[in-house]
Amino acid sequence: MDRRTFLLAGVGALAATGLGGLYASLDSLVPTVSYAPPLKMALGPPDDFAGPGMRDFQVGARKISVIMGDNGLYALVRNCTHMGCIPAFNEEDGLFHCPCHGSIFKRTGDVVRGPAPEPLFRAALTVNARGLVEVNGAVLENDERIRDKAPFVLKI
Amino acid sequence: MKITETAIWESIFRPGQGGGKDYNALLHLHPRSISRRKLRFTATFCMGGLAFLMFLVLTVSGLLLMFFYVPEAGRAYRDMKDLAYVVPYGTFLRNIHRWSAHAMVLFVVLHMVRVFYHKAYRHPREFNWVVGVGCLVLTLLLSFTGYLLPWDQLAYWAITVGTNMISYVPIIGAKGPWSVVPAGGDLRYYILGATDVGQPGLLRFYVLHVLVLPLVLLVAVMFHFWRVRKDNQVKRPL
Repeated sequence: MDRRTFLLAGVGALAATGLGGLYASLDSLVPTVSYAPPLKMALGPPDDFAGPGMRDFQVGARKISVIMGDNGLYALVRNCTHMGCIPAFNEEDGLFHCPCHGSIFKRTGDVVRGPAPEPLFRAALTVNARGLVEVNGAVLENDERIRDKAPFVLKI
Repeated sequence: MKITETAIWESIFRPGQGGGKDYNALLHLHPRSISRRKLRFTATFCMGGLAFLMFLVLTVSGLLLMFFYVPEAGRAYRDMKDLAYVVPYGTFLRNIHRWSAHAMVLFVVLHMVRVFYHKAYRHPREFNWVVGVGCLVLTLLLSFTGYLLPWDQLAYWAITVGTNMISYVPIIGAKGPWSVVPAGGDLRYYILGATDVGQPGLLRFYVLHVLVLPLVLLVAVMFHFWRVRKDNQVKRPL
C-alpha cells in the first residue's frame, strides 16, 4: 500500500465514522417511549350522557365533546382540521368558532366557514367491559357516510 | 517608561509591524484602503451592521434570561411571570430581548431590500446573497423557536399552528402530498419529539434557540462578512 492510498483510506474511515456518528446522533432524537397520556379513556356510565347538551373531556392532546345527535351519542374531536387549535362552542348560535383563523363548525362537525378544509373528526365510542362509555381518540372518522355508523355513534 | 513601550503592550499590539496601527484587530473592520464613497452612510444605511448589533444584544440579554428560565412544562410559564414580577429589571430584560428580536428581523429584511435596490446581489456578490438568505432563514427560525418559550396560550397555539404546517411537507409530512409516513413518525413528530406540542417539544425548541441556531447563525454571519471583504467590499453607490 502506498502512502496516498493509506491516507485516503484513513480519510475514508474518518468520514465513515463521522457519518455514522451523525446518523446515531439524529436517530437518538426519535423518541422510543411515549409519555403522552393514553388516547383510550373511560368517560362514565351511559346514563350520564342520556340527556341533551355536551360534555367535554381532555383525552391526551385532544379536546373531545360527547354530544347526543339524531343517530345516537358521538364524540366530536374539537381539534380544528385546519391547524389544530380548539374551536370554542358559542351558546348563542350553537356553532363552534375557532379562535386561530376563524373556522366555524356545526355541532355535527360540518364546516360552516373555512379555512378548515374538512369536517371535525369523530372518535370511536364504545361501551367497555365494565359497562362504561369509552372513547378511543386514536380511531377517527369524518366521512359522513361512515361517521353515523358504529363505532362512531353509540346508541344508549 | 510609557505603557506603550512595555514588553506586555508590545506582545499584545505588535506596534511597528506591518505599518504600525494596522495590528489592532479592531482596525481590521475595514481594509487598509477603501473608496470614500463606499464609506458613505447611504452606501449601506448600516442595516447589516445594525442587524448584527441586534444579534449581539440578543446574545447578552438572552444569556441573562437563561439564569431565570427553566424549559420545563410545569415551570416555564411561572418563570416567565417571575421575570415580570420578581426578578430585578426582569421585565426590562425580557422587553430588550423581545424588541431586539423584532428589530433584528426588521433590519435583516431592510438590509435585503437595500442590497436588492443597489443591485448588490449581482456578480461578484451573487453567492453572498445566497449566504444572506441563509442568515435570514436562521433569523426567522430563531424567532420561531423563541416564540414557544414563554409557554403561554399565544406561544402554545402559535407553535401548534406552525408545526401543523410542517405536516404538509411533501413525502416526509403525514398530511403532505406523496406522504409515506404516519403522523407518529413524520417530520413534525421528529421536530416536536411527540405528536403534539409538549415537554419534548419545549426542550427541543429551547436547545435550538439558545445554542444550535445562534451558533450556526454566528458561523454563517462570519462567513457572510468574510465574503464582503473578498467580493470587493460593498457595492459602490451609483
